[in-house]
Amino acid sequence: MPTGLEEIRALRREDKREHRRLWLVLWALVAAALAFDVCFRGWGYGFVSPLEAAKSLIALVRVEFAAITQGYVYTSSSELTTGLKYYAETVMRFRTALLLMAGGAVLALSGTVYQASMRNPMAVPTMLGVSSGVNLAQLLLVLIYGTSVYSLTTTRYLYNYGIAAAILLIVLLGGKLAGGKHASVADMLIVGTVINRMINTVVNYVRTEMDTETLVLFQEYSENSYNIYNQFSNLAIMCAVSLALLLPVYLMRFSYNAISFEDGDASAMGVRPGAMRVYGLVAGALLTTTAMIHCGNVGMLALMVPHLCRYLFGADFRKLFWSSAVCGALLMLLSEIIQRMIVFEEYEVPIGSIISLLTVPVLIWAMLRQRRGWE
Amino acid sequence: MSDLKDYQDKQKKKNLDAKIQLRMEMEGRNIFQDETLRRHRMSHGGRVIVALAIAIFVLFILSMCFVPYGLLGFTMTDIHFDYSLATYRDVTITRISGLLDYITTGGSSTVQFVIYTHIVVILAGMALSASGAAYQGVFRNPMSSPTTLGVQSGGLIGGLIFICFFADSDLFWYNSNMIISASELIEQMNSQSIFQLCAQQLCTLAGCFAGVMLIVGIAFAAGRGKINTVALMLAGSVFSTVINQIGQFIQYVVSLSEDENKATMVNNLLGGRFAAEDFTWYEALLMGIPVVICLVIIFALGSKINIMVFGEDEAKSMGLNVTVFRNILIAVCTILTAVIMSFCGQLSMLGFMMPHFARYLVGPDFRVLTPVSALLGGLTTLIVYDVCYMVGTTERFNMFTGVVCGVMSIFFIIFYRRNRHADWA
Repeated sequence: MPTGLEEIRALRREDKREHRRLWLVLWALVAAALAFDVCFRGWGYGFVSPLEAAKSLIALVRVEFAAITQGYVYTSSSELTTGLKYYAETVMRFRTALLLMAGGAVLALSGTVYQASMRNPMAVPTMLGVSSGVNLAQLLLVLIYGTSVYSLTTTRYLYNYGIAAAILLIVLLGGKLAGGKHASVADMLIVGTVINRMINTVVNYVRTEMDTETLVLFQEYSENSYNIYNQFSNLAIMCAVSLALLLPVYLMRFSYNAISFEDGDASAMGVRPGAMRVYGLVAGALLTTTAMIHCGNVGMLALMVPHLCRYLFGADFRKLFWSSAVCGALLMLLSEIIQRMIVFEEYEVPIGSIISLLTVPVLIWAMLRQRRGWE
Repeated sequence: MSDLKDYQDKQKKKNLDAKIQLRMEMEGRNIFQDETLRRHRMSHGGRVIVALAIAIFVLFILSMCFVPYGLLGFTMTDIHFDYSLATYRDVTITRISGLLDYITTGGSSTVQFVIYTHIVVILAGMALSASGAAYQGVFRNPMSSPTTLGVQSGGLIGGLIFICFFADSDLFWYNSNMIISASELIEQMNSQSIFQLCAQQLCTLAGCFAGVMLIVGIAFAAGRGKINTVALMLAGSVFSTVINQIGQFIQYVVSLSEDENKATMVNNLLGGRFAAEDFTWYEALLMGIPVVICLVIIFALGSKINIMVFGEDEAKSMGLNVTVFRNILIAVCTILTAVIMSFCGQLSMLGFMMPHFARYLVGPDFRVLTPVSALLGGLTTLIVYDVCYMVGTTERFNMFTGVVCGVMSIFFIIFYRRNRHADWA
């Protein structure tokens, strides 16, 4: 019997009732983190008052709407922002926070989709070489274009997506060849690990050879790109790409539950596991690339969030879809706040390192509480 | 070419096996069949060892003669070089005589650094490959190696912590820019205790031990008392990614700071220090003594690894004290990796690749496998280093080793795992 509209509505009502308190806490945390992030000016600089920040944001909305309706009339927009002392700073923080939240949500979703479609709790795009592919692409861009790398538009996307897709293809093909008839995630994981190491060696070496200016450029470009590309247009591009990729996943959320069974059982339930797995693989890799282009080297979030969400909300893909998005956004915001608080020898620690450090205990905990064996 | 040779070797070996079997059937001595076959295979392994050792020796001598003077005896800047065969012969003869002159009396200054650098390169390859083979036997897992177990990442973070917080720039040891005389050097070395002299090496060693304990502990816990391959690979991968990101950040900070000495040290740790051929006799000696001792221990314990491969309970029932030997072997392998790490920087994928290659050549007997793997590693690093030297980029040696071994291991993984018969991993 196919699931009717009434049943879906009933299920949704039940979902809402089940974890109501948890959801409330989660949303409250997101709101608090966003408010803190916008108001916090940095260690030793204190806070902008929330009232002032709210006024700035209202002014931002009015300026943007004025720009939409009347074109760029700067005489009126400068009037709107007079008297707001921290307008530029608050707006910058708000934009960055929105971008990071979107990036965190996209990364977490890509991890969830990967784990669901590969039926394996640690298959994430980063382990299969996608993140090192993006790293390599950014290195190439910096080496080829130098300081004019920030003015690139299409070339940037072409390099990143192209190299990430090529490496994913090599890993999948190599894993398939290595596994023979019974190819599993483990084969791909092994090939991916080797490729990761190779690219890491190359990137590490090239970094040691760079002069200081190129090194600063590369560090800023690969780790802190969310500070530079924080316009609303970047957010719009990222959201458009990821929504287009995520819509089929959302529509197939019941089917992704079904393919958690054996392939034969899933086929008997009327879904096509092979096709869905391929779509999940491609979509997850592209989502991770998208998030890493805009938010820097933060791929480890995709490994951490699904484990946390499965602990909080259970293994149901319908719940995981929304909860991992919100948790990813929250964790990204929190790590950005931590990043702004920690200073190592006058330099800000990049957000990717903090996320990696947060991932380690979560992953160890997830491995130790695994009741079933690994494969 | 090499494939063809391997194939021919295999065919020859098969024919020999068949001949021995036929002879034994005719003589009716089936009882000794296994023993005779085993001896035959052992002698095959012995021949491979001898051939590899000769290859390394010949290549070493050849590179002594040709490499110090650039590509095939002439430098690229030397435009008016005479390309006739007679010139090559004359040049070669002068160089060999120069080498002999250095060995007997200590004359030329170009050759000596090249000799010690080559020795260091060969030792590094041998140490990492032998430790990779021993790790694979001890953990009964074909995917374990210094790189995948997180040993090198642990060593990296240990060395970085030392450089960031404890390094003393006044010591010659930690300051490669300082030029001092031999008497001052000896004075400095005498005024320091061994712990102060080798502080960086000891920190690296501590990091290596921490890394291997962490990763293997996680794999043990995830596999409920057995080492789980997937958990091992995953934990090693995550650990090395994290350490890599932190290392990149520290390298960034140190490069921007004004302390050039620290920047050089961090770069040496991350990218190797083969840019200038400045390995001297005491560095070759300081690295060589522990490496040779550890290699001898590993080779001597080959038969124990053979028993350990059966599994813990079986090995115990065969009368082996598993805990002691396992701990000794892990300690020795980790020391090897730490020594190479602190002297030559990161050399990845070498310990992952060479044991598989050796197993393909001589089979799974660890008494033969560990020496063959070590010699193969030494040969590979020597060839890669000489090619780097001829092209003129010795500073990229670490990177090229990683890339060459990575590409080789991808092909080997595909080949090896496709044809696997045993349930390894």
